[in-house]
Amino acid sequence: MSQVPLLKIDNLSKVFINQTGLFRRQKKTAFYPLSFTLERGQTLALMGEAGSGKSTLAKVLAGVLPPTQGSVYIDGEKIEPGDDRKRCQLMRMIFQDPNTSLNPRSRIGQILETPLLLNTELSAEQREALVLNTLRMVGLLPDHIHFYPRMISTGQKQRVALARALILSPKIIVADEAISDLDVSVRSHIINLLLGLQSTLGLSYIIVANDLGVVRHISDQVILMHEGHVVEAGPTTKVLAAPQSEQGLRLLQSYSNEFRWHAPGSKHY
Amino acid sequence: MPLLDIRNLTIEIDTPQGTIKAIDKFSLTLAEGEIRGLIGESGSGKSLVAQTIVGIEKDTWRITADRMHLNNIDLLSLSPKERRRVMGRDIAMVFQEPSSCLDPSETIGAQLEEAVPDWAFEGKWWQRWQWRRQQSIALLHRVGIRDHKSVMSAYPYQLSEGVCQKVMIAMAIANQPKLLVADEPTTAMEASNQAQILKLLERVNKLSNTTILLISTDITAIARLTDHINIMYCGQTVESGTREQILTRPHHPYTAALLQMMPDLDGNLPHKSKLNTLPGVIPPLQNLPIGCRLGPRCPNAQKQCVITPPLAKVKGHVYYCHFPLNMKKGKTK
Amino acid sequence: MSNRANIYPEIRVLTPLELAWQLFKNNFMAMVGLWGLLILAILTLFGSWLAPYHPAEQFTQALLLPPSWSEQGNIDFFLGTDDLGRDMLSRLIGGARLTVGNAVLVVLVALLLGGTIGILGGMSKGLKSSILNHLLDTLLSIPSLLLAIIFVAILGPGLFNTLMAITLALIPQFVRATYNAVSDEMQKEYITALRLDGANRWHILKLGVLPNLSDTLVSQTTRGLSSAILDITAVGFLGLGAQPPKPEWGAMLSHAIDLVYLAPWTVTLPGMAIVLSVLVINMVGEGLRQAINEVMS
Repeated sequence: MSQVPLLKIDNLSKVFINQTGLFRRQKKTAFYPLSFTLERGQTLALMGEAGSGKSTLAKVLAGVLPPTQGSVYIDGEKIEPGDDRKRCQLMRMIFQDPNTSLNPRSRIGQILETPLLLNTELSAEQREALVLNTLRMVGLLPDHIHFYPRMISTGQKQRVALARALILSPKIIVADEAISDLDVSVRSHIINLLLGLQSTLGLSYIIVANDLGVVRHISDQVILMHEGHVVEAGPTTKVLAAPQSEQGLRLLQSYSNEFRWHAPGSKHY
Repeated sequence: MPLLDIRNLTIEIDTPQGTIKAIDKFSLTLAEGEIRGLIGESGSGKSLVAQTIVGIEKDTWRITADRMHLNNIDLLSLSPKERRRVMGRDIAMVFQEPSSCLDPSETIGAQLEEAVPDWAFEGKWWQRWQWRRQQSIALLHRVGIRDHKSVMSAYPYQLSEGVCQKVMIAMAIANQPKLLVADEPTTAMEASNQAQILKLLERVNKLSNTTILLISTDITAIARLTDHINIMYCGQTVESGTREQILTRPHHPYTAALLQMMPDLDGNLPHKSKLNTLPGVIPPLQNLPIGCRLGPRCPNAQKQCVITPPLAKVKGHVYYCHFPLNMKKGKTK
Repeated sequence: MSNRANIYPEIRVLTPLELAWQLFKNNFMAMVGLWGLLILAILTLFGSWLAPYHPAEQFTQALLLPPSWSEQGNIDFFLGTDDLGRDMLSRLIGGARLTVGNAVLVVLVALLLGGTIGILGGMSKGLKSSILNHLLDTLLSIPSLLLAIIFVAILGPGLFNTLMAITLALIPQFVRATYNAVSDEMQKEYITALRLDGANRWHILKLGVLPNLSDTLVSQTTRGLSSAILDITAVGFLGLGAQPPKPEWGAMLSHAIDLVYLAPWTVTLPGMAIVLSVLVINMVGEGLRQAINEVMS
């Protein structure tokens, strides 16, 4: 059993077809067929410029968009494209903007309870206990179940989104730039939270991220994409220390531009 | 003579929950030709300050200040109309999301031509058209867009975020303003674009001696572009000083935390270790703590911190803290 | 350790509904409108018990009596009488049921039918929804009054036929409004999140879409209500709707139009009634819309 990787992606690709006329169609490939695997407790970072297909890849993995071809295996089991019920027990997604991904008309308690209602046979008390437990896990208070999303800060909303992802105890969490838009102090809180959960629950993450510092700190594997192609993939330390591709080099250069201040004690300083 | 001199700016906002002091005694003195970094997280009020400076405040705000001078003109004594005129002439602003600030239904060229000021025109009236076009192209060249033909005829949605921001900067400098306020011009941008925009801002500053107020949430990303840095937290200034003072010897715990919080590419933090961060969350404006607003989150807070710390100044390095850090060397003088 | 210890007892979490009501209460114009609407509702529901006389009762000794505050007026007939000696006040109260009451019925039916079609259309994708969309565009381009007149021309005049016609004319507006709101809603990220929670279409509709439809429905209902009142009275005025003995406001107006110089109150009073009821409805609707918008932002 340990031979089977947790997540196996086989020849996955996505092509968007735009109907431009009655019979004319425009094809746009978001990403070309690619394969990779992810082990338990590991973090995979997807990087690349806008339009490189990294975000689409994350969405296809999470089931937001159906793939054009290829398949996704979790624990050796194939996940069919439309099978959200099975997928959500194993792999969950955190969206980029928590301000739009939480229903403004639902209390936080309801938001967290919905996946339980839809996917489990738990009784009302069990559900509530689990909701409160999960809230505490992400650093929120039991009171928050009565709150509406507009009453809490963006950082707290992202915690709620994380709680919603965690509540079905999945094995993989896909985060589409979920930490890029947050404030610095909130971002480090969420990163700490993600790292803590990874070590206690053995979660695997697939994150789409731009900040090289964050990527270096939290990820084990990196996939660098450019115009739908994978230009570089491998262990984070290796890729970031000596990128082989032109895109990787450029990314590194533009990150360490002359305006960035490096903390004393780092090699650059 | 400072270009912009603001003393004790206070902004109160009327909300259904009562009046909120969103900005508490904010002071800022900008010398001509400098780049000033204004750093703060969301809720720090840095955007309110920027909006007040460029004069796009909302009706629900009550703005009071002991002094608000732009180029020796007292802005407080002017009528709103005159103030807008002065601000329109001398101040320009670059916003956070360029693609949402550009008119989606007009070409970049048309929007740029509109931004070219009339007063700079010399020549016969029938040359005006031609002149506007040339000026627009020159502006694009100045912000580093060489391919002016395709950009001029493009609509905003056809251009990337980075190019849009360059166009916004071109429109901002069309009027040759003395002060350019850049409100988080690089957030939500990729690293490569960020570097380009920052480089561009530096060039604008160097070439036309434009003073720049650069607002950002991430101190490390822009630090080396600035001459001076002001740091705000929850509507209060916590520290201000030259770049070197702030970066190498921060006195306020919040500054110190900001500098340490993000993992660096070559940082010496062990992989996947916990990051240094402040406990707690940024308090909402409705229930701010009394005294030093960082108090409840500060690692070195003591009883005294419920009293607002007074201004302290060492060699032009201003901070508001009862228990400043890194004082060993600074104490001697 | 108790799970439910409340750390912030002073913060009472208001539901969006309570919050909207608080905002609405603080809006003076909206509250004036609400009181007006309340009076209108009472007159509509209990008018037959409140009116001093039967609307059709004729007092031959008191023809064309001016309202009571005039010198020739009589306090027995507070708002005067018309050319057949019928009490204006009783007729106006009786007309409230015919005009406003019917408008409410019409709007409710249109809301139910139009809302359902709109929701079904909005939830569907592709060809079905685009056919619905284009069909609605065509229907909406015909003014509702014209549609009502065409219907009456085919089915013959009468109150019931006009009500049918107005309902049918209103339905496309409701379909359009809900269709747009639902398809907007379906694009939202939290709907995607719901789908990834394993929700089927019914769950998405119940948990995600319906709670967010209230502002659309409120504004569309008030708009529909005022246009229904105007349509009913207009058709009545043209003599196609409610027939003369019935005290429908539009029919009263058209009946009294010859007396406009002789007895101006017989014309102004029904007119005022129409204007006031439309105004009151719009004031309440605007207040509700503002409150909901405020809550949502």
